[in-house]
Amino acid sequence: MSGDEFMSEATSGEYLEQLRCSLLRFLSQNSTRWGLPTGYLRSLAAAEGRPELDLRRTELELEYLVEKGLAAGVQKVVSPELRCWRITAEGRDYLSERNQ
Amino acid sequence: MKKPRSDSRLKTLPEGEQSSLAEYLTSHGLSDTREWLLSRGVKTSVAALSEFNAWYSLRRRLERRGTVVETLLEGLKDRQPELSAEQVFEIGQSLFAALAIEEQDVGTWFKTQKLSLERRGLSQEERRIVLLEKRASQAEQAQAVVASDLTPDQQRARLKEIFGLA
Repeated sequence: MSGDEFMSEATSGEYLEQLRCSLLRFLSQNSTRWGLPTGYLRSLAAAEGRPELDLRRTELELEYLVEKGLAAGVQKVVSPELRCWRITAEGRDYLSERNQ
Repeated sequence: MKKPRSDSRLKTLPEGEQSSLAEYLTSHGLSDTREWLLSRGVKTSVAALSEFNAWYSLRRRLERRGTVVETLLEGLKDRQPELSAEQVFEIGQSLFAALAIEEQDVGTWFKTQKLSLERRGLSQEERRIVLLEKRASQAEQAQAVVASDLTPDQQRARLKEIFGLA
């Protein structure tokens, strides 16, 4: 796949929807009180067949989920630029409605 | 009503049955496991089993990491009760994140990212990677401090130094 083809696929609605659902699923699997870092979520999503997925795209999609109320960033004083994320109750409901 | 996905049925099995299924999957292939489940009255597909296996495995890994961090924090709080709840949470979050990243074969991932960055010259992402490497190092240092024979005051000073709270 060429770079242009990948970018086309990577910005398609279906690709982004699947990516956002995957990120929510990973977040839902974390039952601890700690948030998951962007890099870890990226690597999990990449392992599902998205080898070109980068941190920036991952973070953009997580920010989208935050805007929709489905995920939340963890407030940090130390290294706030290394962002961590949790799923919200709305996010769990969303996954449940989609049988995920 | 939307038909439930077959892997979501597996995910809603009682915890004990999920554990048994995961255990069975460690020593049997997906097809064998599907037959085994069928003999127990649970109809599913190979794809659903594969999805369940990944889901269950990740959930348990995160639980174990969380338990490790909570145990480390208990020791830290016993030795340094003056640490605030916010400081303890910050340390716990940093440890948890570092352990999670470490689990994913950090070396390979960083190598891939750096090669990609060299091609694209994304200095901002490069800085992120440097910071992630620093965090992993912080977690290793903190674990060593908590397990060390340093006095509580020395441990506190060292942890604050490691996490930039001094």
